[in-house]
Amino acid sequence: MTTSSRSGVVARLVRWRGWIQAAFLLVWLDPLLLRLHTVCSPVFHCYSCPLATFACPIGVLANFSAIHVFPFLAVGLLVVIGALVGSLLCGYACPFGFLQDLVGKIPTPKVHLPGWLGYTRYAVLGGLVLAVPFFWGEGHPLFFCRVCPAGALEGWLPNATKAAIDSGVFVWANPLKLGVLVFVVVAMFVKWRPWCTLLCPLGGIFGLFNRGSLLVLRYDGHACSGCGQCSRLCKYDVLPGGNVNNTQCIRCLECTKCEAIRVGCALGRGSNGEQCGPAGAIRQRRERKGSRLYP
Amino acid sequence: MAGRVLRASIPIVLLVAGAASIAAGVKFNTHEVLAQIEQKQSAPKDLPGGPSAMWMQRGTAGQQGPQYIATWLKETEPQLIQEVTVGGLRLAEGGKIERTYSGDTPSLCPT
Repeated sequence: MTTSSRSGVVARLVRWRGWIQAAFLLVWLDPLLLRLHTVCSPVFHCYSCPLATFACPIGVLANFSAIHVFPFLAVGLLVVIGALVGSLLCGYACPFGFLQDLVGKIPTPKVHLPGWLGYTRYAVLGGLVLAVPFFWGEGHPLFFCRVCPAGALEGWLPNATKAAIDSGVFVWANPLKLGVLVFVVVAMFVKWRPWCTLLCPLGGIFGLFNRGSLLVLRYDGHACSGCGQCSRLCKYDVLPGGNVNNTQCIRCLECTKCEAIRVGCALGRGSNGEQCGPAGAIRQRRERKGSRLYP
Repeated sequence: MAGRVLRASIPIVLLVAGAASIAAGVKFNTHEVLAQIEQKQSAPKDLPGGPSAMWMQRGTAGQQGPQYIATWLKETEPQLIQEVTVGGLRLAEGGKIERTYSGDTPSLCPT
């Protein structure tokens, strides 16, 4: 059941990732004007966007928390997608992630932040998406949709522009939402996927499934030379050397270009790499050279 | 061996739980929503204290505006999802869910 990273399918997926992300825009941007807002999408795309096919799952979670109703449909969808592929849709289908990838290609110096900062996504999920709406309702200024940068970029900006063209009056979003939008847009230039790796609550949810999904990444210790290539291939500071199925990973699968990391199925044979990665081999190699763990 | 079986069973259990949750949301998760429904006919007169007590007339005095009556609607979860995408629901006092609008559905979420 294991698919070698060197085999055609995964290699082609990785090579064509940008085009796959672009193709998914045809699903999320409603070219047929279906407006299926009774159904959640599994990606981070604001339903106030004039071109949104589906409802945003995080917006639905926040609003359902505000009216004290458990969102069985949204939670079920996230659990099914997470159980199948973990956070693969973050890397291959999310339109907001695609935008960050495109901006990130602009050749500016990129900063690298510690991986543990990814846990702030759970603070956003627990605080702004669940707790604030539940206790203070949707009118609270920290209600998630009121500060969401995707909502500002995809919902407020096109709608305010259209209203300005129609009526001549440009309606500004609230200052906090604008501030978050400016912060995230600026951060896109200096860090790969800053929203996804630091703040995205949906990425946080899908990341939780990485260790328990059908699609897993496998680490082959016999094929690992400890060269640290996997860490260098990871643009998102996830450092797969530590754990190839960790919660911070967005599953872009770039690390599978390394011979020691492969895509596999949890039902197949062999280690699924949960508690292991090439960190040990890398460490030994670095220690021999007298340098630190990661390049 | 046991560890491998456990690891393989986790996604299967999650898939079944997720599918069950989706089915529960589509089929069984209905909630009552207090809505202002436009009434084309005259107000009922024989319901003192009932919904007709909440009868209201929109518009200025002397004008024939649309008339609305407060009524409880049963909405399924997909309908609730559609409502929240336009900011159409809020939690009223007493823990009841009510619509934030009357008449036509708003086109955009207020946030």
